[in-house]
Amino acid sequence: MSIGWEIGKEAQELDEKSIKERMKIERRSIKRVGFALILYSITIILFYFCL
Amino acid sequence: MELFLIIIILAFIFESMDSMAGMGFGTALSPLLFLLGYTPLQVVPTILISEAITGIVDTFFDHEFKNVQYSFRPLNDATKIGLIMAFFGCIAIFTSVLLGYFAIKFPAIVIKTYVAILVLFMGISGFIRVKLRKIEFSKTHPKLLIGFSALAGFNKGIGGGGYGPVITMGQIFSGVYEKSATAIVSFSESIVSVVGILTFFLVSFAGVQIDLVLLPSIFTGGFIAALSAPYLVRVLPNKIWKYFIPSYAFGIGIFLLVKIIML
Repeated sequence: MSIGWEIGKEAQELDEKSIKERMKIERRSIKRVGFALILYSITIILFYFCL
Repeated sequence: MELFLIIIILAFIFESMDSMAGMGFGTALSPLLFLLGYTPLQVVPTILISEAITGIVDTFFDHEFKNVQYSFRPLNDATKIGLIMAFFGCIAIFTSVLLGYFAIKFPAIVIKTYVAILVLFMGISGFIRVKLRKIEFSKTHPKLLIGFSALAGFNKGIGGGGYGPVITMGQIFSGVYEKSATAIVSFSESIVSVVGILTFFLVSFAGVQIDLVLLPSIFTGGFIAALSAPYLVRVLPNKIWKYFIPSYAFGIGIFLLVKIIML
C-alpha cells in the first residue's frame, strides 16, 4: 500500500463543488438504479415462491 | 411470504445508518428484533444474507456515485484496504465457529464491556481527531490500518462484536477520507457476510433449523437503503460525516454498555 494513498480523491474533488452539482447524477447512474429495482422485484418474486 | 412494515422501516433505518456511518446494522437491529420476539435462528442468518446482498448493492452504488473508486486491475488502495479488512473479518468468523465447536467460552461480560468501552473511546477520539486535524492535515498510516483491521477481527472472533465501528474509525484514524471509509466498510462487510452465510449453512447442515421468515422484510428495507444512502453520502458535505460518524460510534458504544447493564 502506498504511503500517500489517493483514496477518496474523487469524493474530495466532488466535495469542492456546490451541493447542486453533487445532486446531479449521470443518466447511466439512473439507468443502473432502475436495473437494481428490477433485480429487487425479481428477488421478491423468488422469495414469494421459495419461502 | 409475509412483509412486515415495522421490520421494513427498522431495516431501512439501520441499513441507512450502517451505510452512512459504516456500523450498526447487526449491532443495533439484532437486539431490537429479539425484543420483538424473534429467535436468533430467525434473526442471525437473515441479517447475514441481507447484509451480503445489500452490501454488494451499496458497494456498487458507492462506486457509481464516486464516494470511493474500486479497481481490481490494477488493484488500487481502496480495494486493497477492503480486502485486508475482509480477510480479518473472515478469520474472525472461522475463529468464532471454532471456539463454539470446541466449546471454548471467554467471560462474555468482560469481552462485551471491553468492546463497548473501545467503541466509546474510538467515538470520543474521533471528535478529538477532528480538532487535531486542523493542525496535522491528512497524514496516512497504512500500518495502523492493518492493526485496526486485526483488532476488529480479534474482537469479533472472540464474540465481542463491534467490527464495523472499529474498522470505520480505524480507517479514519489511518487517514482515509470519511465518505470513502464508510463505503469501504460496506465492501468488506459484504464479503464477510458471504463467508458468514456459508458458515451458517454448514451449521444448518449439522442439524440446526434456520427460519427465513424475516428475510423479505429486512431485504426490502435494506435494499432501498442501499440505493438511497450512497447518494445521500455523495450529496451531503464531508464535514457532516466527520461529526456524524464519531457521534454514531459513541452512541453504539453507549448502547452496547446499556445492553450489558440490562442483562
